[in-house]
Amino acid sequence: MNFFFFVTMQKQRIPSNFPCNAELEVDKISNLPAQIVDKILSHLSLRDAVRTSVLSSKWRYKWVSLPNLVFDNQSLLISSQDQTFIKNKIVNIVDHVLLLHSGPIQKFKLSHRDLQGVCDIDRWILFLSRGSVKEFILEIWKGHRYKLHSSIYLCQKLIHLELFNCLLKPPLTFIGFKSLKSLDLQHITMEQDAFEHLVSSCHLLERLTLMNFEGFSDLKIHAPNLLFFDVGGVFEDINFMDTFNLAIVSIGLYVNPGFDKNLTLGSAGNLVKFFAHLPRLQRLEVQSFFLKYLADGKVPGRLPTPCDELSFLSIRINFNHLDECLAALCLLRSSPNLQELEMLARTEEQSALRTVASVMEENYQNCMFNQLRHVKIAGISGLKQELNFINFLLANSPILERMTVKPASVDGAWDMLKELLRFRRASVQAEIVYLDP
Amino acid sequence: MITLQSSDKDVFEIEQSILIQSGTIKNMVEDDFTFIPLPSVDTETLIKIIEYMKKHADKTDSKEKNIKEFDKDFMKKTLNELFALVFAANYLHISSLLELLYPSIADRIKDKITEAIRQIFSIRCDFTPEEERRIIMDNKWAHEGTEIEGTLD
Repeated sequence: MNFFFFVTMQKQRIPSNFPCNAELEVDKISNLPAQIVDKILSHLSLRDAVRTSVLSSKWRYKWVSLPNLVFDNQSLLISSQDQTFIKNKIVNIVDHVLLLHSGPIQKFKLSHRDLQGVCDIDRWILFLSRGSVKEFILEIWKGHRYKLHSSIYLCQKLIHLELFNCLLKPPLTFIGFKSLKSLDLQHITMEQDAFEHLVSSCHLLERLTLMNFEGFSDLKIHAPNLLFFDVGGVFEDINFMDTFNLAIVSIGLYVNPGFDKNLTLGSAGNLVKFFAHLPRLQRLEVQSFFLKYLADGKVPGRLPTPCDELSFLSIRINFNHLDECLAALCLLRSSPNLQELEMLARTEEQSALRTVASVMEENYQNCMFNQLRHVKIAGISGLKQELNFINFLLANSPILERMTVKPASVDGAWDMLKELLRFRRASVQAEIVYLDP
Repeated sequence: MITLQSSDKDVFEIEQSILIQSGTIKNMVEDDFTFIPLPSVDTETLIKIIEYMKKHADKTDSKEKNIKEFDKDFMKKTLNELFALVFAANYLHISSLLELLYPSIADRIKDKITEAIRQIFSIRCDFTPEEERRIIMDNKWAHEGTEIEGTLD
């Protein structure tokens, strides 16, 4: 049965047809230990938790020891179009809650779609820095980058820091976040030195997410405990130093790098350099234009050390670009234990101008994928290069279970299918599934 | 095998490997106890606790989906039963069960108007109407809203 009640402040009364439905004969909840009540209340929005204060005198201040404070669209229901009104309301609520709150605050999240980077946030960060906050999430959905108040850099108990649309300018005295395990920075601005120092001084860092950043273009990742790295943005160079535990990597270079191939003769190309410090890599996603970056410089037939632990590989590739094809091949030939592969075609307007030189036959020899089970190829148009790759994969994957092929458009799809039918398959149970574009 | 005795004096013999999910029992086993009386847990609740621990003892990957289904069904209990489980799981230190119980109980509070919550949990309101008005005014922002759906389980 559902009843809808319109609640205003003046009239909170029980409708007359409200049946008496006491499930518990005895009030068992009000006398539960405080930590249990905290845990139950922490599964409610802040609004619901605060509203329990009116249940009975025992409940008046049960909510104030909540360790996690989340101020988001759900907990701050404000219906108004007036920016000033909204801002004042949000500020009042946060001030009010922080003043009534008692005990440690472990998690603080502020993410309201109408909140801009107002200076009141400075005050709240200062307040939190006096405690031992472990998780701090700040998302500014409107307006300019908010410059993080300097007291955030004193929060040494931070384990998780998540920022959206912020400006980071740590003071020179900043020693890093000694407990930080997880850092998520999106739409942020920071200087090159500050970024490098931040990453290298957080010795316990395990997860790093970096999306759409400004102010630095050289990604030097100095993080011996890093396990997970996800980056998407515009950068010129990426260098992993001592990241010997890094297992999951996803990199998207959002802009087409224009290379002049001015690297000194004999120096290792980007591909070799990239994998030099990633011995434990298990999952890799090469997105947008990143393969083009990797293809710059010398691309060997195989990497000096194979990626023995790589089980999942996803590559965004321009099959028209010979260098990218060679880079992809090098990568494939260096991943003997690959279980799942995705090759997603990227088409560029200039592709018609490039010489569509073919990858030589010998590049496809001597390479077995003894663990490869699933392959996904998408966005292709039936080019010789594309078909060569498919042929190569089918012929060298003895336990392949499924390959899905999805063309970019209906044009040439039929001819492509005819070619695909001819290819020999090393695996008797390989299914080739054609998906409509 | 370890013997557990409920408050109703019923005894249950269970393998040690299943029972160590309870921090309390684990400690007692390490101190060489084989008979463990549980004066604060009645038979009905103890049976459910044992059922939970048996299901969660085998945590191989293939059973994960199975376990999730079980957990969902396991939480479909009356509030009386849930509270009995909370007290027992708290005493026995079975954190995975507690982590399931908290949101299940919270769901009975979520989005409900004050009087509905009082009814469901048998909470006696000891405020005068004047006091109640003042408290609502104090946390005005939390009580404001448009339509709040009040459902009774």
